[in-house]
Order: sequence, then C-alpha cells, then structure tokens
Amino acid sequence: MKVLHLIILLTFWLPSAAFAQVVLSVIGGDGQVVKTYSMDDLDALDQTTYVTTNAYVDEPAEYSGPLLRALLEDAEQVSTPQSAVKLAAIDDYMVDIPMTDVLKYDVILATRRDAKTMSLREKGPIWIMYPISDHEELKDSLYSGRLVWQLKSVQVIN
Amino acid sequence: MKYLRKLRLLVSGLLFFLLVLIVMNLASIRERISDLDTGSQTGPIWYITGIELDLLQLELTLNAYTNGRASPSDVNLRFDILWSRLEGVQKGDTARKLAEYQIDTRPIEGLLTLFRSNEELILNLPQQLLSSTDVRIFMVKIGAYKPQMRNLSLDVLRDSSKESQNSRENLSIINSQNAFLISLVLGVLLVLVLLQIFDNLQTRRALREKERLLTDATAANLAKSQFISVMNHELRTPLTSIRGAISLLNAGAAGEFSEKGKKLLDMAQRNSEHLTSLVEDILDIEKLAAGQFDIYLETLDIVALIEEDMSSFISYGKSYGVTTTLESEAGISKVEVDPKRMRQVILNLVSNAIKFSGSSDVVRIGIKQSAGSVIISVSDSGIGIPEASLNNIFDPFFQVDASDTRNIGGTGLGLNITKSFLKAMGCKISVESTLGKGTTFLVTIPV
Repeated sequence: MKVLHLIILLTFWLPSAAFAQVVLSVIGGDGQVVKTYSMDDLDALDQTTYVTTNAYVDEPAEYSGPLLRALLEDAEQVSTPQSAVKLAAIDDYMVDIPMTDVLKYDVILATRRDAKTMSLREKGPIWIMYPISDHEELKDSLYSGRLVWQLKSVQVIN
Repeated sequence: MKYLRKLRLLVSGLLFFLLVLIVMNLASIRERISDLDTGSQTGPIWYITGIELDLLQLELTLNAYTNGRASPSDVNLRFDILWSRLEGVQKGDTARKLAEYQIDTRPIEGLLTLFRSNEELILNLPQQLLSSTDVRIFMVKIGAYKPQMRNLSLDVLRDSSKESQNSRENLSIINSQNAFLISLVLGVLLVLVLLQIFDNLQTRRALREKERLLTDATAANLAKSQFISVMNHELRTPLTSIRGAISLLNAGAAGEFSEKGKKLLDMAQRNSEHLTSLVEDILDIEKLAAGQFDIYLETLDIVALIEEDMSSFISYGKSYGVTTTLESEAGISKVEVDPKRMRQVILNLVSNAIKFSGSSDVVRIGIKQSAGSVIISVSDSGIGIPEASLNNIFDPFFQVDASDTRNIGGTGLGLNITKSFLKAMGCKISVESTLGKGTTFLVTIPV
C-alpha cells in the first residue's frame, strides 16, 4: 500500500515539478530543515552574474544565481566570520567552506550557465560557483573542491 | 678595523640571504604539502573512484527497481549523476591529468556510449517493472564495466601515487636543502660571533695601547718639566756667580782694566744678563705650559702702577739714548689685574720699544679710557715690523729678523709670555706697525 501511495503521489507530482519542486534545503543547527527552495524561489532572490572558468570545464562560461550570503540571510541563518557552511550534494559529496569565503567573495548558487538551466547531467540544477577568474588566489585546487555541483543542502555550522 | 667592519657587513648580508632562501624553501614546502593534501580530494583518483561508486549505486538502484523497491525517478537520478561524472571526466583538469598519466579512457567512453544508447529506456521506465529484458540486459552490460572501472581506478591510483612519490622525494630534497642551509646559517652565525669577539679584542687592545701612549706622554711631559726646572736651577746658580764676579770686576775689585778689558767686561756682563733673562723666560713659558701659573687679581689704579716704574723705564731708555714719556687721561677707571704680571707685561713692551728705537727717539706710553675698557698703548718710532710677520710675533721663539738678535738681544719669548699673561688676566693685546716708522702695541683691559 505504501509503495502504491508513493507511486500515485509521484505520478501527479512529477510532471508539474519542473520549477515548483524543492531543489535546495537550508538545514538549521539542530539538523532540521529550516527552509526549502524551489527554482522559482531561488530566481526570486537577487541574481549575480559573472563569467568565470573552473577546473571542471574547458571554456569559461557565464554563471548566474543568488549569492550564498543572500540565501543564508533570506533563510535567517545566524553566522559569524568563524562559522563554516556545510554544502552537501545529491551524490552525497560534502564539503565545509569557511564563512570568510562567503563574505569575501561573491560565492553564488549558480542556477544558470550561459543563461540556461543546468540538468543533473550538466552538474545542475545548482552548482556552487566562485568568481575564480576575478581572483588569482582562487585558482587553486583547494577552491576547486569547494565548487559543489548538484547541490542539495546548505547548513551553517557555528 | 675597517676591513673587519666590511667583513662583518658582508657576513650579515650572507646571513640575510640564507634566511630568505630558507623562508622561500619553507613556502614551497607548504605549497607542495597542500598540493598533496587537496590532490586526494579533487584530483583524478577521487573522480575515478567516484565513477566506480556511482556505477555501483546505479546497479543497486536498478536492482531495487527490478524488485519493486525503487522508483524510476530513483533510477533516473543515479543514471544522471553517473552521466554527469562520465562527461566531467572528459573535461577540465581531470581530462588533462588522465592524458598526462596516459590512462586508457576507452572504458569511460564505452560506458557513456552505452548510456546514450539506453537513454530512452531509462527515461521511459514504467512505474512497475513487469518483465523487461532490456533493463536486465542493460544491467548485465553496465555490470561488465565494473572490473574495467576498477582497473582504471588502480591505474590512476598507481600513477598519482607515483606523482605524490615524486613530490615526496622533492620534499625530502628540499628538507635536506634546508638542513644544509640551516647548518650554513649556523656556520655564518659562528663566524659573526668570532668576528665580534675578535673585534672586541682589537678594540680592547687599541684602548690599552692608547692608555699606554697617554701614560707615556704624561710621563714624558713630566720628565721634560722636571728636566727644565732642574736645568733652570743648575743654570741660574752659576749664572748668578758669573754676574756677581763681573760686577765686582767692573766695580774695580781687581784693579783698573784697560779700555779693551773694560769693553770685554761690558760684553760679558751684557751677555750674562741676556742669558739670565733667557733662563727666566724659559721658566715662565714652562710654567705657562704646565698650567702651574698663578694669577692673583687685585683691583688697582693702573696709572699709579705704571708711574711707579717710570723712573726705571726712563733710566733704561737713557742707556739707549731714548726718551720715555707717559701720557695719561684723567679719570681712568680702576682695573682688576695681577700687579706683578701686569708690571712684567708693561716692562716687556717698553723695553722692546726702547730696544728697537733709534737713539734720540721717543717711546710713548699712553693710558686711555674707552667704553668698557682701559687701553694702554706703547709706541715707538723705531724700525717697525714687516706686515708678513705681524701675525707671528706672538709665537714663541719668533724673531722678525734673526740677525736682530745679535744687535738688540732677546729670546723671542717675551711677546709670547706677554700674550699668555694678558690672556690669563682676561686682557687682549694687538699691534699696529708701519715698516721704518714705528710700532704701537695696544693692551685692552676690560673694566
């Protein structure tokens, strides 16, 4: 019965899910989901756009999406410069980035590459991006590891 | 000393250079270590083992789907994730690294081709699998890639461990370089310390040498002073006897002498007196130089002081056929001088003036009051002093013309002594002279 319920739910939910579907969760300090975002929700935030390259592509491209710090503010997450942000991907890749990165650089949750949404196969729908081409010091493998693709959740660790 | 300082500067420079090298080496170590560190997280190994893992995940999900425990969307999710990873391997740094390691990436391309040909199948999976052999065939096919992916991972692992081996070797080279540099630094420091010690020894030796020289010089000066005072004493005693004997002879104690004998006696007397005054002058100079020279200042009437000696000046002048006069303004202030020394000064100036005058000339002593001082002038109308010599006449043993010494007598010390006395009393002396017309000495005594 349970499986059937799920199937029915999915059947009706999936087709309309393209933009209303939850793509990102903000997790609070207690590990509970504080706020969820659909693509529309993310698009409703102020957008930042820049052209940059990174270690995983061959050509520079234009990435756009909301600033990570703006998202945290929108989700009312309290942080200090000593905090870290835990980023988790759909494939369970996880990395902690220092809050100083978020404050110092325009780290975005890129939802568009060259103005087009990104599928899962294209490392979408959300790819954490740093303005690497604008900062020489970001051209380091340390920062490559922070470019989390297929982003699933964000959590402030104080 | 100078080369030592240069050497020390050079060694310090070397030390600085070595330290910079060490810091640079440490920075490069840090960089390499961080490369080793992060290399494992985002490098090709991580990526390739990720493929292996995602392949297993997809297989598991497909299995669960065939058993009705997973939905088509679960399968799609795993399918897409693996797809993104397979495409990602062919781009950016990972692709470059695989090419560098010369890894055979055909299994990846093969798997991707398999994915593309089965895309329709996976996208259109029915909610419930009834009996699709296609899915089972697909599962067998991707299962066949597992050992290939395992081999790929191992290849990458081997090459990257070779690389990290290289960087470890590099690190150990840098480490031994650093050890060498640090021992160099220690060596240089040792040299610096030795230089410092050597420098200290040198300085101490030089200081001791200076002290010794100073002691020697003081001793020599003392010896000289003692010698001169002994000599003075030894000279004066026989001179007094000689002068006494000559005066007695002149007074006729040994009977009358012939004209020639009297002339010779006069000469003997004059020269013995000259010798006496020379000895006295040398004694004065020596006292001045040794600083054993006392001044007793008294407030007195300078006009009265000079008037007291006028009679002896006049009689001394007469012996040269020279008239000596004193002209004094009224109301001359009292002055503060040592009377004995001031007498010596005036006597010296007047006797000089008389000696350098022609017979029937006049030597004028003048006393004038001016603002803040009393000026005593002693003028003669004698031979004068050449302009070139005016600056030197106060130097010890200076004579305008050496030949004058014989005619007129004098030691060349008188003016030097005069100036020293006046200086000690806070007075000044100056001279004006025109060759052939006469000389005026001016003594300025502050009031």
